[in-house]
Amino acid sequence: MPENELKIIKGCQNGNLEKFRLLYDAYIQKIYRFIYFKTHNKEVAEDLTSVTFIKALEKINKFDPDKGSFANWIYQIARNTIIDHYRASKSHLDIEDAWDLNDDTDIERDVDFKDKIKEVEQYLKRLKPEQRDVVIMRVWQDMPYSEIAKITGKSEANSRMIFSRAVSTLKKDMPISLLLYLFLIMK
Amino acid sequence: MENKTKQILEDLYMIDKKFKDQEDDLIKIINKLIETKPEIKVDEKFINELRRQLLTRARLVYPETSVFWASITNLNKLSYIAGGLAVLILIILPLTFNLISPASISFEYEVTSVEDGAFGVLTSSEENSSEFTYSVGSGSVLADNLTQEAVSEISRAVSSASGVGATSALMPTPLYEPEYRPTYINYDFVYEGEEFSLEESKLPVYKRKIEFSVSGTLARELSKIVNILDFSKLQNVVITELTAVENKDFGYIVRMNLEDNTFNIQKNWQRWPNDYIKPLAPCYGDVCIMEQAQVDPKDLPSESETITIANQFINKYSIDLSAYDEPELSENPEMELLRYIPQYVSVVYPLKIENKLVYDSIGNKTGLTMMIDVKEKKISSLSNGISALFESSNYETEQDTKTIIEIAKKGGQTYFYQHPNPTKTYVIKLGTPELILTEYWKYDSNNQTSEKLFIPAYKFPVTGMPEEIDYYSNSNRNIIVPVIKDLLINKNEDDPPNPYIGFERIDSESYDIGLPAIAE
Repeated sequence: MPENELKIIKGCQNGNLEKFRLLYDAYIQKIYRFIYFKTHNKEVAEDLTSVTFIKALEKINKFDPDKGSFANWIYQIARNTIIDHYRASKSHLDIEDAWDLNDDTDIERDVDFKDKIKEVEQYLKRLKPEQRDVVIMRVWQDMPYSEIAKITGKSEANSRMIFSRAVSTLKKDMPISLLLYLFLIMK
Repeated sequence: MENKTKQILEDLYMIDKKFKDQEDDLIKIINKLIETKPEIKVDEKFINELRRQLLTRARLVYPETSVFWASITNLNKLSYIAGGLAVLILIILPLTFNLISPASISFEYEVTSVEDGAFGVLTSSEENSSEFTYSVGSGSVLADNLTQEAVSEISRAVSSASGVGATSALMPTPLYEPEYRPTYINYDFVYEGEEFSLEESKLPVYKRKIEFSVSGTLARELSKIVNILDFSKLQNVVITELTAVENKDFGYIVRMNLEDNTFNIQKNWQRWPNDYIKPLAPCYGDVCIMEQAQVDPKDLPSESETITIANQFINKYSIDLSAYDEPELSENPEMELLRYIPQYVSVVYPLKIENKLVYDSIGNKTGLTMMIDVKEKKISSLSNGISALFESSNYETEQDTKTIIEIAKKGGQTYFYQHPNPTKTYVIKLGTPELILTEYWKYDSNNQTSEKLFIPAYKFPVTGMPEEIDYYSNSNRNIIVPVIKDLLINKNEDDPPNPYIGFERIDSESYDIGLPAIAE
């Protein structure tokens, strides 16, 4: 974890919560995008991003740097917030994000997202949530494996492996043009 | 092949080398698909609103603490040893800490939103009374009506001020054979960027919030200690400045201005070595011609070393950087133009308000600035330290991007004069702009005061210019155009912009001013 980040977190834990805005500025774009790509809706993404940061602010005292990075911690909050959101609205216990919803589920999506992702959606849904997260982070959010490793709490090599398995899964089912399309829109 | 395409292909090959067999097709598809890549833009309003909510919540979760004293005691790490004033500060600070903890100057970052238009009309009061109106067309009416005589006057003034001693072509009867003649330079700005739009009809303008309470309280406490006069007889006294001197080798002097809540740090000259200033020749009495010894190029620290030195200083004295972006080296025209190794290099921590970087009027990042002594590898000074409390107030924006581009073509905030008969015209290419904040001084002629505002503006990067241009190459690589309507519609000038006059060396034969040649 960057020394400066740890210093800010310690400042927050010592009661100077106004320093939390520095963490907010560092993570808001990443967390919003991560949530958006898992919900496909601007309003929902904004709501869940707000909830994620409010939870992080209120629970900052519980963050233990010895147990993992701050990135790992806040992404986990985001992940749980998404799951809570879908669990609250659907009685489907395995829902991790909008990708896991049934085809006949009426989910409101942004027009742009709907048009661009329609074709690849059926393939992405076949991935395990963990694989999907890594694909989203690597390709859509353009993160290096070192950063993905921090967020997922896995090693860099393990993250690469998850990504390559995800791609292999996609390759089996997807025509080449769709696979490329996926890569490009993810870039 | 574009880098992006290459990277995507490499990613694919790393996963499966069989993709390589289809490379030609892949490139076609990739290039086509790159054009249709969807963009997701996080709504700035949402980001700002959530930041405000979190700050409010932070205060609810944990009651507000007095941060002024934390800031001051951070500076106390400088070991206030010498000087009566320094001792005084050490006495006063604990006293006041106990007595007046609610009074504070925060050097930490905070933005408070106030009602729309709260800072009044943004144009300076003198500008309001001027008849000069900024027009988007071919130039200002006043500027267009400038007579040749007026240009001549300006030319003389510029020649005189520049100290070049040049003889203008418009000036009569040169006494000496001229070596230089003026060249009237126009800059032709051409926009080559992409289409852009401004969604927000209003955007926040920022102003620093100044706290005075501490200076009054310090004055009261001072009156209890200082017996040189009866402070109680003075009314409404405030302490405006504090100076602390660190009396040790490589010590510092810290100056805090409590009126405008700023601070700066300079090296204590008396306690720093001065061996790089040497007499050039033996001194005659008190008269010495001093020479500043050249810094050895090998002493010049690398960029990363320089940044590390700056960061170490920041960490050592716990200077709050909440309002600043990552540090970067300032450009050094001396080094580039004169091939001169300077004694100091400069690092700037750019000011960032609600995630927008602040630029000065000619497009350079501005913020906390540190000078690093190249030879000693130490911080020599820190300037532009401010309390980062801001108020924000929304103002109407100019959403017509054509208008914005037209203003950029005139040079934006710098606003260049267009000479009717230029000697040279340089074409400057401008790229797609980025929304930033720019410093703007609002002058109130009635009170003869100025206050700095931070105005949302477009920064047009200079993407191309002729190689022979020296003006832009080292100082101005961006054109700044404010987006607040007030400042564009009522953009008034007391004086028309001066023509940019350069000087080029000529021989006497080519110097034709319509006068008989001076006989040798």
